[in-house]
Amino acid sequence: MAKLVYGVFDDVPYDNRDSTSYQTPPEIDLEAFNYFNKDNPIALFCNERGFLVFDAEVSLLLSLQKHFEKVAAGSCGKCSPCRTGSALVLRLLNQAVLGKTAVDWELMQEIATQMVKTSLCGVGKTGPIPLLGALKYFRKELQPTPPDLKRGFFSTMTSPCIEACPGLVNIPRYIDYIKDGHTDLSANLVLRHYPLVGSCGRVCVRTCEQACQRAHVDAPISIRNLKRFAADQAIAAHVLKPEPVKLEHEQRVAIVGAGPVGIACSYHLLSLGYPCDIFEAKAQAGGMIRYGIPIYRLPKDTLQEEINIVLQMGGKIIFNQCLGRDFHIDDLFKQGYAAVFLACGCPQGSYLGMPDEDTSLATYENGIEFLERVYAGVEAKNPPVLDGDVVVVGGGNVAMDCCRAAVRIAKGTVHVIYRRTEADAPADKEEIAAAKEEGVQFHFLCGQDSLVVENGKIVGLKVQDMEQTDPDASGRRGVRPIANSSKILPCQHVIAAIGQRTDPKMLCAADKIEVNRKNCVVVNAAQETSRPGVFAAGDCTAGPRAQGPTTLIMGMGQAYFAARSIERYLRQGEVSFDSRWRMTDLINQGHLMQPDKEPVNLKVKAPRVPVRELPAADRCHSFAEVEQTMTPEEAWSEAARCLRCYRIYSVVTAKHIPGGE
Amino acid sequence: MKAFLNKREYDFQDGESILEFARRHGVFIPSLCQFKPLEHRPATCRVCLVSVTDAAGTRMVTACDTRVTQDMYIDTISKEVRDRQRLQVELILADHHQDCAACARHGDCELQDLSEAVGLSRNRFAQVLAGAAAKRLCDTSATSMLRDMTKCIRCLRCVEVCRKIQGVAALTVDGRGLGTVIGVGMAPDHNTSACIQCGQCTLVCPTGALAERDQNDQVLDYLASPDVITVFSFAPSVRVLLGDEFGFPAGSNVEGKIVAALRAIGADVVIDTDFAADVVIMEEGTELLNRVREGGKLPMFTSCCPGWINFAEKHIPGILPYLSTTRSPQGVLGPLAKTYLPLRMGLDAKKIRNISIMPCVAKKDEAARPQLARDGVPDIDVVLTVREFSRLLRRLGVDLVNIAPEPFDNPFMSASTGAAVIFGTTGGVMEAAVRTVYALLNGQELQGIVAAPLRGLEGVRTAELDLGPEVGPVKLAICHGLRNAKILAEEVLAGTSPYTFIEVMACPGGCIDGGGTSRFKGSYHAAKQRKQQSLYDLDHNMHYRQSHNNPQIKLLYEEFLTAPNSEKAHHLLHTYYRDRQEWPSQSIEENKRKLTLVE
Repeated sequence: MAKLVYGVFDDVPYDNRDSTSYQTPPEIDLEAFNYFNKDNPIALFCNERGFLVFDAEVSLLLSLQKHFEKVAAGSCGKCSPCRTGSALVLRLLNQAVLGKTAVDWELMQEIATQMVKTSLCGVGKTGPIPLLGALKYFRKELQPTPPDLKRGFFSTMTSPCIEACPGLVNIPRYIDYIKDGHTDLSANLVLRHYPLVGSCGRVCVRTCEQACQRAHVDAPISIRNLKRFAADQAIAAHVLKPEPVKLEHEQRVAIVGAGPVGIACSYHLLSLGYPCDIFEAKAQAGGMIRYGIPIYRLPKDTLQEEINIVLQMGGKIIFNQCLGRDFHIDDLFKQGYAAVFLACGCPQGSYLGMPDEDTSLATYENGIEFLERVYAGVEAKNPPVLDGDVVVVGGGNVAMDCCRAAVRIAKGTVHVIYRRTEADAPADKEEIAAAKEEGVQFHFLCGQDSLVVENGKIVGLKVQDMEQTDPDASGRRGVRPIANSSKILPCQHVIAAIGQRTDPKMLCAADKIEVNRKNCVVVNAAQETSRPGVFAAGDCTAGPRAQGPTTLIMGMGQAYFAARSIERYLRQGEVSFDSRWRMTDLINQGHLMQPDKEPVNLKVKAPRVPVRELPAADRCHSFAEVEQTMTPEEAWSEAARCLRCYRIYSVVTAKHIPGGE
Repeated sequence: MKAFLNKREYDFQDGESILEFARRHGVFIPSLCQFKPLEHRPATCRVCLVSVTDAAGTRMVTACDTRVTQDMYIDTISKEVRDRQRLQVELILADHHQDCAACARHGDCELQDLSEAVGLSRNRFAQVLAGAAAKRLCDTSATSMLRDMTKCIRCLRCVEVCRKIQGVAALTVDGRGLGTVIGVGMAPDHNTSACIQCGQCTLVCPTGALAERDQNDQVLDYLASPDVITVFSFAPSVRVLLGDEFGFPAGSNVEGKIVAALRAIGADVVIDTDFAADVVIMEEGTELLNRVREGGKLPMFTSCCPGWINFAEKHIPGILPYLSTTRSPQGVLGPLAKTYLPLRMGLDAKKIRNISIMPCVAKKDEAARPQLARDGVPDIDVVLTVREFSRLLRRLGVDLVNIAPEPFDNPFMSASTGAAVIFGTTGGVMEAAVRTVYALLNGQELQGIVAAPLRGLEGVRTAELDLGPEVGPVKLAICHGLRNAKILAEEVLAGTSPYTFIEVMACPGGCIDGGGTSRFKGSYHAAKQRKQQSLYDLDHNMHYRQSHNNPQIKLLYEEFLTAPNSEKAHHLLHTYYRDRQEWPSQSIEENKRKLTLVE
């Protein structure tokens, strides 16, 4: 385990150099600090809580100067103590490193303290903390040293929302760009991560909002809607225009699947100059967000516009080409592709697996089939009609999409049954609320038992009430059926919305690609599969970041890193290490990202701007988009609520970090 | 609910900020960026520091964005609080270009006041980061204004007024760190940006970062030249505004003193923009009648306000056919002072230089419009704002307080009416037009000259007026502040506007609160009621109340223009507009290079 030599954490000094009792900060797992990358021990770490030295030889002054360069660079320039304070402190640090003149340590401490005590946001409030710890407890260690060229340094400016985003998108910065009046730059910042900005701005599961510290004041920032606003203003309004990219490399990449993950990966590879061909099983691009997400949530012209970015850059999509049916992996290499990226998704829905269920019944569908059928009908201006009552089984977002789509085309009542409680339902709470407004009847703690079929037609679903079990050791509560509670919910349609899976014919043994028992492609942290040159991401994969069907943003986040791995594979013949994701792993392993210590709840309150929606009465028979874009006034005032909870994490390592400084 | 302020207990209101709480109880906390009149509280200056103690302990917070809670102990004067407030101002000054002696805000600067309020006695970092300040942009591209970012302290008030009051949203925040400045979006420079140069931002800027382009030296060159005949004129509102600069009570009428002062500095001819306002009513009123009678584009919008014209051209060009083609009073005065006036006075027209004194920043831009020039010679040569003109008088040692008033005496272009003088307030143009249009239609004056629903300061005011048997009742609307104008214009374009005639003034309140008027530190349009009332009082006391009854107007038409909207009138006194809307667009890659981010 990494041995702490000395350091300051949460304003407590630790010095194990001469002491007999070894002391370390509580609740910090030092195991995480052994190595940053392979064979490269961490010599020093600093963040918003202090600094930890693991190598007695490392220069504390040089390390803090490097860290402070990041602070000064990260200063947004709006608040006075951080803007000029960080520049003044950095100047003093630079003088100290040179060691030619006497250093005014008192002035450095005065300004750094002012930054911490009075800055507006996390950069100034937390950036100088390691320096202040050193000035207070280890000033004699701050000795000038010549530049240490053999060591590695990596630093990142992050925040709770960024760490919660599987794409690691710099959320406070794009919010700031909106506040500053630059929707072009706001949208473009997100475009660095993926092309489907407006689509993600409509349907993202927004784990960022759950991490948002503004919740301690009043309510989280409406992050997703702000992103949508920027996309609507800049991308949909054609302020930002895609252009053909100069494809300077000869090596071509085959992308399998034109869903969001395949589109995102090809987008990044194209911008790096690699020609990409995308093989798509269906006749249109977009995958699950075209067929699976109903039009009232994501208008398909928005999606198509964003897919077109990739086409305008020079990507090609070859339609009606299905892996396992029309071609195999070897065929792609034979055609001269230098690398293959699998983003086949989970295109098949699951049935409920009830005893004796007959999946050939016309009105027993799985959610994926149903949503595809509705999509095709709406696109053809001839939506299907559901006669009678409908029961949707499931509590996730697919179930919400199914019941809300069904309510728009059903002549009878639409029910949702879910075996757990409403609080346990994984669906977005706002989706449940919207479904209720539209007239969907919910039955929580209600499990399916069997289909009731008469004369070859469904006439009902036998269900039974459930109850919660006592909490287990981990505090989780299960559910169990209540005896003698069976009843029949009369209905003519049953839609199973409980899960989805990969195409079982996707891969064959000759492909030499390892899959897990759920037929998901096994990948490592670099999104490599077991076969060299073949990479994969998204729903069809199982790896350290996600197993099987996952979220849009997780898939696109993986695609971003997969593209970087592919680039390095094509350039160097091997994939290398990614410092930024390693830092996120370090933050998670070491339990380093703590909620704000300073109580922010005394901020003057400013209510979250509500999303404007079509009235329930207007929308429940229409596939028109329900949620409306913000006005600029709304977006500015929402963006102004952001607290910018930035923190800076830096490591100094024994050796250079590959791909790093 | 109670909390403590420096040992004393006071009641506080739920949700109230410490700054509001302290002010309500008469306790002063120095502050800079927050701006109460706009409810603007960006919390960027970080000067309003106080120490609070509650159950969670003692800490330093900014008073503007921290709520008072039960039993909170707030200290605004401890040594630590004072030291931190003072250090904060020192840090603000560290990247502020401190050429105070050469600054437009010399002696009238909120940053200087703040420095005094926190007891600043040393300025340790003034030279350390001076290079960073000097590197920032000083944009001199705009015809009316300067944007000197070396002096910006990032209070963001200008951004707020541009969005919240004007709905223009031309200003953006650009760059990062010491390079952070107020920018103009994707436009290459200020002049071609979405800015309409109304100058409302200059009224809220606490320093000299935003100011009008000072053209006093050009005026002094004219005064010094033996080959130039200087013709000075000043706008209706200027007579109740200039006193602000010399300590007169708000709204004091200093018309006679201005005339005397102009003569004192050597003006050759002093005429009155009020006269031109009466001409505008004759032209615009006739134009309105023609549109009503001939089925022209209705509603007709007024066109006196250059901020509004710029807004229409740059932001909502679909509305341009609805604008009156009649020039503004300044735009009418210019050509008449270079044709009619020399003809009657026997002057060499080529030697005439028109200098107009305006409450407005955008009037400088109007004077530079190519449509307002003939054969390359501008109709108006220089426009001075009220602020510049007061500076000119101080430079020339003219004491407005003690100078004895003198009357206008030009027999051709100085007679005025009550209708003209109320041009200076929102609703005035409409009221003046109504008086004349009614008389033109009915051959008799409107009973009860004051059209009450048209008066006041509501952002949008509407009225219905019976114009007599020929036209019948018409709906009228008045708005000021461009956010309101946008709403009315969009209604017109949507085909749902019920109005026949709409008056727009870009600045809230109209010219009395124009972008070229006096700056009042920490307040915004504070004395508008009194200024408006002064104009109404002037109207009330005038011998002539209607433009068509101005004897010099009658003479002008009889002897020179023949009739309103005559060919000659059209040639000299009307104009046209151009669609100047820009649709910025950029390739994703090109735009990406402008991203400033640290990850």
